[in-house]
Amino acid sequence: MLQPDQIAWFAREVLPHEGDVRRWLSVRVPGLSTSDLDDVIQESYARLLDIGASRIAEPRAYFFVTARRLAYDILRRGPVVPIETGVDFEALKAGDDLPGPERHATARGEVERFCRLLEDLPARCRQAFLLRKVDDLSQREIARRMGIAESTVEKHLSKALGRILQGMTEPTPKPPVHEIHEERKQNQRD
Amino acid sequence: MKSGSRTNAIDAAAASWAIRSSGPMTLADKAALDAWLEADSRHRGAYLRACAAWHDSERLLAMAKGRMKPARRTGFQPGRLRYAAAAVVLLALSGLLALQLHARLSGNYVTRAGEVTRVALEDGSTIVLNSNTAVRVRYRSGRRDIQLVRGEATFQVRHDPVRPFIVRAGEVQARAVGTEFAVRRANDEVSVTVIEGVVEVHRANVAGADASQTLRRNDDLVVPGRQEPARRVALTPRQVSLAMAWRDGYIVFDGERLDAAAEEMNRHSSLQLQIADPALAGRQLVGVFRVGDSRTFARTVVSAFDATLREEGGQLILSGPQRQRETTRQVE
Repeated sequence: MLQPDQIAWFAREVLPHEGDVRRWLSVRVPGLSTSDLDDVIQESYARLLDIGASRIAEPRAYFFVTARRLAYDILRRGPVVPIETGVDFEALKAGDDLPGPERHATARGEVERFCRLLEDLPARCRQAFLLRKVDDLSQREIARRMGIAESTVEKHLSKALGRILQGMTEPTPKPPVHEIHEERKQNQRD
Repeated sequence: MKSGSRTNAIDAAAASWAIRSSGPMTLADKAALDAWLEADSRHRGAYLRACAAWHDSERLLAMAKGRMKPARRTGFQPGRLRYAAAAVVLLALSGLLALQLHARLSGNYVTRAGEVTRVALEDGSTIVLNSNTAVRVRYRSGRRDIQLVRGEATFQVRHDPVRPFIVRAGEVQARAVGTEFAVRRANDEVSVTVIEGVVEVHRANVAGADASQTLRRNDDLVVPGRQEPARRVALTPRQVSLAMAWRDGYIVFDGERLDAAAEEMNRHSSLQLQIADPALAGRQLVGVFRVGDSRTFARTVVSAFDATLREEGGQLILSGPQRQRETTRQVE
């Protein structure tokens, strides 16, 4: 099935851009519902996999272009083309307005966000996740240590992964409000 | 969008399959997974995405070590002492492991004309090589050494206070702890542009104030060869982002003269453009082109300036308007 190097490539080259793609599509294609957006993202990964990592020189740009084409397909398939949403189909087809990589994801920001995600997990869920990922225990061993069924461990881990994945791929946020306040305060001092 | 508002049945199923397939699977499980993946291309995409996140969480955990409060770790019981110790060793080892990966990934990276390559290093730093560039990477325990042999590259550096990231280009040495910057080398001249953060630039064989400079965001320092004084310019954010567009595979022209634009295109392509008409060479161009796509560039010039194009011996020759339009069409 999937090769470890394929997975590593997607983790490195595609996943980090998903938040940007989601935000960009939701701004650019207002007619797209949340579930459409999920469809587009899932379908994009499948397309990129079919094409093959070795043939994609610029994964970020390719991800944007693929997702946009799929979004366009979905809108066209819909029963009513939502002209009133102001979707610019010509612009959708054009290929030269892709946003550049943004520099918001500093290493510290990324780690802090991840730690917050971990801390927000239910306690048992987090415990199972850390035993699996940090202590490198098998699901059977985790089940034994936590005194629960293996299937429950699997549920905890699936939930942890689902939450982490969602957190990692949230449409990239604007800077938090308190930072803006900090800036203002500094300006006042100046 | 609020956190937690996104629940997608396929994503949930994909997460379960990613977890199950991360351990030993029964034949029945394997068959069921295959059937599920076959059923819908979205299943395959969602599964791949979940596996990628599962994989990436290891890197994030390694970076997060030491940041989590101990109370948040698994509860401590006497019987678990051995395991707890093992966990500590594992955490400590992950650093070593990363070093081994670096050793494996240390190497030389070379791009040809028209090629832009992104090299992801295992510490999370990224190098993007522009066309005709050669970079040598040597990760050591106390420092991350990079040598720009020729060409241009940007460096997005993961913060690591104990292992500075040092880029050498001839006699110029740029040192960063965690930041993003570009270094370009052409003949004797080296330029350093800071995209984010702070970079210290040192110059060998030069004394005084010019030997060491601290650059901040959007600063651009050009160091000519032969110990001439360096020139420092503060760029606008827009200038920096236009100058870095090649990393996304684009070249952006914002009113450059056509001959200068053609020269920039030529850096990235073996198919060379030549502007054969001085009046045409002085025209100004605004546009975005794919790196290496000299043909589209030439066609744009033809339609924008009513120029003519002919192809001769691996060159695209652009000249002023001509009466015989047929020759142009044949090239298409």
